[in-house]
Amino acid sequence: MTIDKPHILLVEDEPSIRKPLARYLKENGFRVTQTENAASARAQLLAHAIDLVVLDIMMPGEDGLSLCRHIRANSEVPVILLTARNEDTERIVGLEMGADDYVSKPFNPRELIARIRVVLRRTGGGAVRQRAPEIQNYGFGSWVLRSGERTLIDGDGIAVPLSTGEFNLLLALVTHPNQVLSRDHLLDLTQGREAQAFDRAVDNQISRLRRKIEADPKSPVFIKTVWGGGYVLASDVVLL
Amino acid sequence: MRFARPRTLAGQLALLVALALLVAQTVSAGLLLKERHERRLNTISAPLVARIVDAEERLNADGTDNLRRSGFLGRARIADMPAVTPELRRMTDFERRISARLGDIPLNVADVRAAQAGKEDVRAWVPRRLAERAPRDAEFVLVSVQLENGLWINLVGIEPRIEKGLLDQILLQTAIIYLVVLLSVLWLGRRAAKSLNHLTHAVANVGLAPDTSDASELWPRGPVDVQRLTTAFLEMRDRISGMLLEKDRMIGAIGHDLRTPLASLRLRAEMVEDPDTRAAMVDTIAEMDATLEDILALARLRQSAEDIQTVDVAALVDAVTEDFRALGLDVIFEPGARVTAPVRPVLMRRAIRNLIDNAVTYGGRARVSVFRQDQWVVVDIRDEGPGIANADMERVFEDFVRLEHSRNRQTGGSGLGLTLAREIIAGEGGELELRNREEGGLQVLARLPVPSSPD
Repeated sequence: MTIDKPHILLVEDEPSIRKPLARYLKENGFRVTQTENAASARAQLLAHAIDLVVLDIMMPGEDGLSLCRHIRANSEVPVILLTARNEDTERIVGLEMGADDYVSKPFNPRELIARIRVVLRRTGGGAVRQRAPEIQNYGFGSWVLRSGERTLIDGDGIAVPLSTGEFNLLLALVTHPNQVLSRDHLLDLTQGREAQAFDRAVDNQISRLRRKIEADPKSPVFIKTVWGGGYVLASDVVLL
Repeated sequence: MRFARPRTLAGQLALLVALALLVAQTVSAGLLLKERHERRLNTISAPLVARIVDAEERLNADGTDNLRRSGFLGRARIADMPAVTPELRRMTDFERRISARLGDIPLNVADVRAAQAGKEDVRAWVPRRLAERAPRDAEFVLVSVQLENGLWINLVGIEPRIEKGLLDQILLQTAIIYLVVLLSVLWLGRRAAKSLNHLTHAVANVGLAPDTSDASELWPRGPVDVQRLTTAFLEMRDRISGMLLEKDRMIGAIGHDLRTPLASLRLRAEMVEDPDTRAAMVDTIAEMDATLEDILALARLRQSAEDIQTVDVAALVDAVTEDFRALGLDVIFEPGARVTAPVRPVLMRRAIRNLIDNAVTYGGRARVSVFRQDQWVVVDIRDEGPGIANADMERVFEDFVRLEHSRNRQTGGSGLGLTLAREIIAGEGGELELRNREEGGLQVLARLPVPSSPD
């Protein structure tokens, strides 16, 4: 990436959203190319060096999901989807199609800007692409963490729902198994989607998690404390 | 004492048929007995009349000369006084019968008397050998006929034994009819009632949980009338669910269409220079968005694709309260035993969140606990707010949305939170109860059914 402004391709059929959004993105230091359908988006992708695509899923004609699949098949350009809230299937399919992140309409434009910056940082400079870990199931010990539902399933198949804080922390742990994570690192990893909902001490969340998943919370086998270092998930994690 | 009237179809049918049978049997038994009685009167009166006529003819022909010393003329005894004395029980119908027969002949008589009599009463009026031959327990009829010349012809007839078996026979017959008819009526009634009960169950569940795995799936059965009713109901149910689906689809479409202008507004709000105005706009848009989301959630409830699974409800409620605490709100979870129930976890989380949110909004703080009570898992949420006025308490369940609406006008919010919670809980077969606590504040009890397990 050069010192140039990042170039965003905005694909949105609805002018009442496209125009103010383009203006807002420009005001916040991006270069923006607007298109209103998939066909012209393909043309723009060939004509310009696009750094990131902001893509509306619901479009007449070829929809955003199809375009997303096309982009992923032909390039490494990151994609952020604009979805309707509550359309879980839409969102999940979008992420499966290779989208890097999503925001739900009506969205806070500041949040979109933040997402764009995070995705650009994550994918820029030849960094390994890391998808939003929304739809994975992680198995460790006799537990399964279902990230889509923020729920742990125990060995008997009983669901143990987690709070947002617990979930974010456990997700950070299962995505970095057998790695020591310092408190600061854990805070970084968990300051994601619902940052405002997670401002409690890491230690507190750890002890809550241990009460839920450890047979004996006083001598934990899964989440171990590393003296002076932080915490580690002492277990292999299987993606299910 | 009041007779407990049967209330079921089979019971009422059986009672009606039993009463009808009773009337019919009584009438027919009465007719039968009357006919028997007539025949008996004829059987006795015919030979007696013949003997009276005979005695009268002989009297007319010969005068009293032929009378033996004892006064017997054949088997009749002629006397100047009647054998029927006043202390004997008169048989008026028999007297009328004899008078009528004598009139038919015609033989004019001054008086006819007849009475039932025992063996002792008749001894003087029959020839001795006849009296000796009569069965010991025989019943007799004494008849005295006064001729126009003042003389009495007295004679004795043996009353034929009443057929004792007759009554037994009628009773037995009645019992058999009762057994056969009542059993078939009961069977028929039960059959109709069974199919009706299935129908009732189905009708009661229209529009409730979209549980298609219902083992007692309805199909037309039973008597053809009930079958027709069932078919009509099934068609109606299809129409209703079609309408509900259409309603949900329409609300969903409206919500979708509102989202775009709302998203546009949200974007343009960022461009407002004055920070206060901008903040106010953003708040208003967020509120509209929340309302829209509630409306859409309500519309989608019926088509929720989420699977039911066994969930640790205590952990679920604990997790929700933890999220509230993370936002700095005063919500305390009182830990208890682990209790599980089959629910849709994402929906249930939303229901509990709405309930706690209400408690925090109106009651400042919430104390939450989860426990097992009989066949229910109970989520108990208490706040310390003003509660709900008793007058309004009725309306909470009559007209949920409107009360919520008025309640929410000052405080914001969609007013659908409680409705949504109630619908989600009802969708799992549970129920929601609101009550004012004696020590102040509102108590909300969400009950979720636990299927009875064999252990």
